[in-house]
Amino acid sequence: MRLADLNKAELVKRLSHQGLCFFAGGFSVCLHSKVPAIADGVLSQYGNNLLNEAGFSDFHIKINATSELRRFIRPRVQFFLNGNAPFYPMPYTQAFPLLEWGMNWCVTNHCHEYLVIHAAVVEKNGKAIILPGTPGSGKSTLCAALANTPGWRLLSDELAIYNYKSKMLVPNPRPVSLKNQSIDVIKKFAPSSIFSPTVHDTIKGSVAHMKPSLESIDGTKKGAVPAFVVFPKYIAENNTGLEQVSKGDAFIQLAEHSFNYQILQSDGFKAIASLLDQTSCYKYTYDGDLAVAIKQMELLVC
Amino acid sequence: MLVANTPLSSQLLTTPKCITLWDESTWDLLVQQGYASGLLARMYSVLFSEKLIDSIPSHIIWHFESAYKLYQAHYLDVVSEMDKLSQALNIAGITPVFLKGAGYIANRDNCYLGRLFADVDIYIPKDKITSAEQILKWQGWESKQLDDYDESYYRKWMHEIPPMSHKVRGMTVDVHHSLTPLTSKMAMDVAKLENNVVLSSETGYKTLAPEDRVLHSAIHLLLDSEFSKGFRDLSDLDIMLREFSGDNSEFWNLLVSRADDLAIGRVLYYCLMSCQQIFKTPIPQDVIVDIKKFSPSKVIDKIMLACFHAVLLPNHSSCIPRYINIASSLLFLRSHWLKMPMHILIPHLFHKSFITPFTEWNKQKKEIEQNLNG
Repeated sequence: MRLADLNKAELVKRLSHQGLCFFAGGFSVCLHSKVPAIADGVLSQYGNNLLNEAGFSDFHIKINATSELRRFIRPRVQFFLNGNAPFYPMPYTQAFPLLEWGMNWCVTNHCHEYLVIHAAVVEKNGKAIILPGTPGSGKSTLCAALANTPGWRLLSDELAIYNYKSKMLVPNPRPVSLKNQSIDVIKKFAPSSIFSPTVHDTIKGSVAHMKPSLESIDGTKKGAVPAFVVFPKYIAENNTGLEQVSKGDAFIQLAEHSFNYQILQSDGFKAIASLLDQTSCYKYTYDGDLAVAIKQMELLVC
Repeated sequence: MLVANTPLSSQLLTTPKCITLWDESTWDLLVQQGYASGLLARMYSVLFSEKLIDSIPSHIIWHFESAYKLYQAHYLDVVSEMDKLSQALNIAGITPVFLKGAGYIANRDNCYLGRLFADVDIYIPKDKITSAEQILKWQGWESKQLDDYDESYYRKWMHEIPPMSHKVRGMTVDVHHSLTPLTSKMAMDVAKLENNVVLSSETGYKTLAPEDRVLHSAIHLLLDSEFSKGFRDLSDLDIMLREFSGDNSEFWNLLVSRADDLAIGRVLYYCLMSCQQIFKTPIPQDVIVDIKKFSPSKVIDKIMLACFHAVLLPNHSSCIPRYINIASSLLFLRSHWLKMPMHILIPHLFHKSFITPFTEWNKQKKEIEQNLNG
């Protein structure tokens, strides 16, 4: 049963009572919240996701207003995992972005059986491209564009999860987080996609989320073989394209972009080495022309 | 008693075989408690030594394995920091005594397995503290920046110097010259502890003797005002008591007479009663009868044990009783009351509630002005 099969009243009831248990990417979540923006956000972005009928959830998350007293004066929401609050409260209007960031934090902070890298992952023809990138590199925009192109599926817009034992990437398809200008760029590029309402003035500027395709969600259980590591770099009016990156260079950059390289100790080193054995590495400088960028990526995986 | 059933976490730690009977929703609750108490890695190591890993459902085991990986990273960091500290202090001819988590590692006590370590605690005799601090600074450790009040408060009243951390590695080191605040009503006689220090044959490090390790851990836990790691610390004590009493049949008598000698019998009493209540620690009946001599009057006894019980359970909604707020407030007041006499406590609380916020505000204002100008 998918989340969209619940009517809104039932969804709100579950969120405010026993918890709404569903699969969000590769993990199961039991979500409690009385905040209307959370119910709306989940309904808009997670409709394709399966409900979790079993009794176990990986993460028990609660997002609620901090206090009834502050309801009318600058109300705020707080994120709880297992009853503990790891972050400071945020403005009430930012509840849904807070849920998404919090769920990413749950993975990066607790999942050490795999190497977790700050990168988007997309796949076509059985070949996955890992797109690591610092904020502003155009990683999410490129990822969102590819996720909206037929034949491609989204594994994640934020977290490349590499199972170094099976040498496969673990899918974690969740809503794609778009920031500032890229919101309008992608809305224009993929007008039929479903976007959550844009939330302004967050620490990352304006933020909106884009619902992953049904194929991406249904591929959650199907791992992907890493074939390329592409470091995107958005520079206006510069379309240098793909340039090969040495394995040594790529190693250092991947270690810097990974969340748990240090925690994994020697396994972390072996994991990156094994990932680089499987992949070719490029730097990709593009000017924001998504049609050209998609063609480039298609040439890689064809 | 007020809460009858033992939490799942204690069941797993003390009677691990019980997990073979658990269903999905029991595991669901256990993993939540494990996260809240920070004990998933310890649970994993207990299940590992009991050869019960295969009884953890396959879709759940990653929570334990990940926590165990984090523990391994912590462990290696602490071991290397202990080594570097010893080498640095050795230059000045000082041998540190490792306390708490680092002490458990130094002695290979069972309770270091799967335990997360926030910092390294060492004890150095007071007459050597200045040269120790100096040598550590030369070797790359630096003191945390404190405001003038906190700095002088530390120097004058505390049992440790302001925390230090290494420039590059960043791990915090607490350097103690006593084991309880100097102002505390329960101040332990350091000379007595020092005379009893042992050298681990396995690692070559110095630590407190087993009975003193228990008492130091107990005093730390039960005189504190903050119990977020209370369940973990009580589990340390449970594991130590089981291990030490198994190694030495005289351990219980040694422990009780040592507590008497150090004048902290009451703390040992609360500690053993709480261990028995939450972990069913097998304390011999005659020891229970014996430590009753340390107990307060009946009413106080009931209240105190109920308060400790509330704050020492895993910090999760499935365990926390309704009266938790009253219990933690009472223990907070008690902790401060025991830590400092009134003529120090009242000015201190006044400073912390009125002057510190003002200076903080002033500092922030200056920073903002500087940013605007610069």
